[in-house]
Amino acid sequence: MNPLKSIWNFLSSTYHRLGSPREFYTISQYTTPVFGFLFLALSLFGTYFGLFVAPADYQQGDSFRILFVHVPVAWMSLFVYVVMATAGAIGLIWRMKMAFVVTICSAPIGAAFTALALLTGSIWGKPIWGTYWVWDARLTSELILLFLYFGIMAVYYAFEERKTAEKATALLAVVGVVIVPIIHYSVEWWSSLHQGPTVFVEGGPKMPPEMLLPLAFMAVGFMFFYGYALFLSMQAKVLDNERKSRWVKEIVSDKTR
Amino acid sequence: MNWSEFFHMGGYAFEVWTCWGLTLAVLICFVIYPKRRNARIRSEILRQIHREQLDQKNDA
Amino acid sequence: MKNTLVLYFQREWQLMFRNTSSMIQPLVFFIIIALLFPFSLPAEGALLQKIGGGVIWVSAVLATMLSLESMFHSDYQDGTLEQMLIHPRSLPLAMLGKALAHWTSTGLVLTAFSPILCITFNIPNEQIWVLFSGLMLGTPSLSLIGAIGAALTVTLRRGGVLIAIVILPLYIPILIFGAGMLSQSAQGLEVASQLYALAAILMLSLTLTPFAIAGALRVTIN
Repeated sequence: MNPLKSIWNFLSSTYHRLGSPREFYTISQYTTPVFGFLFLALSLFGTYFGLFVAPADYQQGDSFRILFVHVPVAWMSLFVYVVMATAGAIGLIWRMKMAFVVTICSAPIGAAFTALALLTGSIWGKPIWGTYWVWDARLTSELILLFLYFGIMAVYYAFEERKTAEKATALLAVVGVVIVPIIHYSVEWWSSLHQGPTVFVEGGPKMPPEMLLPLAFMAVGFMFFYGYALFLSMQAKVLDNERKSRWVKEIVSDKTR
Repeated sequence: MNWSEFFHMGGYAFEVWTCWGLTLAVLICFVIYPKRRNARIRSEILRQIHREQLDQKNDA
Repeated sequence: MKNTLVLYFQREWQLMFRNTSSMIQPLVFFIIIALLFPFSLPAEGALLQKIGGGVIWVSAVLATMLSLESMFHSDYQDGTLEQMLIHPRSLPLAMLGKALAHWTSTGLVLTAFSPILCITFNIPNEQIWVLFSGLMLGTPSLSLIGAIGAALTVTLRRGGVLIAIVILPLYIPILIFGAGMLSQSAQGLEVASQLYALAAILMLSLTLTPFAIAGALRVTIN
């Protein structure tokens, strides 16, 4: 059999299986702990290398160790938004129930990552720039992103009927995605105090490997954390949404699961 | 390297530990809250099932 | 049969002239907001001249936002919106006509009155033209993007605050370019790039937002 075709078949069958709340619940019972374990392992590695092994920066001293939480969290704030909007679009186009659940459950996680990026950034900025806040492009656009997340959450809770709320939220997430490229390219659009990009630039990263390694570990670890937290909150949401259905009652009354 | 030097972080103890602590606190919240919500919803559904069973017995 | 766009534009115009307060209210609001700033600041001509452009832009954004809540309200109340949804005419085109008509009653009027406000803020003549052209290119996008928020919240009883939360973040790029143009020209720099950016945002809004407005209405009105 054609290998490409078998891969395609596998992907489409997983997609359709994940599209049903029941299948999602059963599959996620196995995948969620795996995500949690991977996050724990990667972030412990990253923490060890970042706090103990990496030497202090010659300009910023030990304060640069904030980078290992600040940068992954800031990347994740954008990544979560893209996932949220993509899921929203999938939900709107193919009327997929579970896609809306991804959108709704991603919003608080993304908002928290964005708030963390802003907080850690400004705490770091105080000793390095001498001020907690500067009105430069990346800080400002991260703040806009936070407000976008708040708007998306506010729309979801404003509607009484769940299906309308889900669709309205997904639509707003798709509309707001215009802002994500603006955030990404804002560094080049406006000149600013904020240091320019140092990892994804032409000719490879401008960072010594003993700093890059823990950063990579932390970044991938945070991605698994997102998967972990998303699946946990999706499980609760699915149970809540489908509480009238038979399979939920079966699962709940079966103590072994 | 000794531990007090490590916690001192070259004079940046407040900044570094606040950032790491904040991040850790938020991550823990996002694990505990859905787990508690899941448990709460499960207990609500269980209570509902018991009520339905009682109703059926009473009808019979 | 007339073009859907023209038809809905004309319909909105007729409704507007029957109810002229909908045209005057945003304008009065715009002027009052802008004139509140001099009262709350030290009475220095140089300071007012410096912040005047930004103040006028913020007032325009707030005035547009305030007029959004009523945009679909009467159409929703009397059932016209539901008729539009099931009618075979193209809904996005109808929405484009509606949003453009909304712009002529708010953004265009505000832009026309902005030079007078500029005079009260002691803004020099050549900068009045910069502000005017910026508002002319920026305010249609405000109406078009705002209509998405208005469509999303039309069925809600208290949608006003929600519109602000949803729409104001989306307005920020327009505000940055529009107000940034003025501070650049005050330093004697070229403003063409900001004008191009505003024009690009307008083109994007003209082509994409009608579909988003139509989608939002289809989602919220069952």
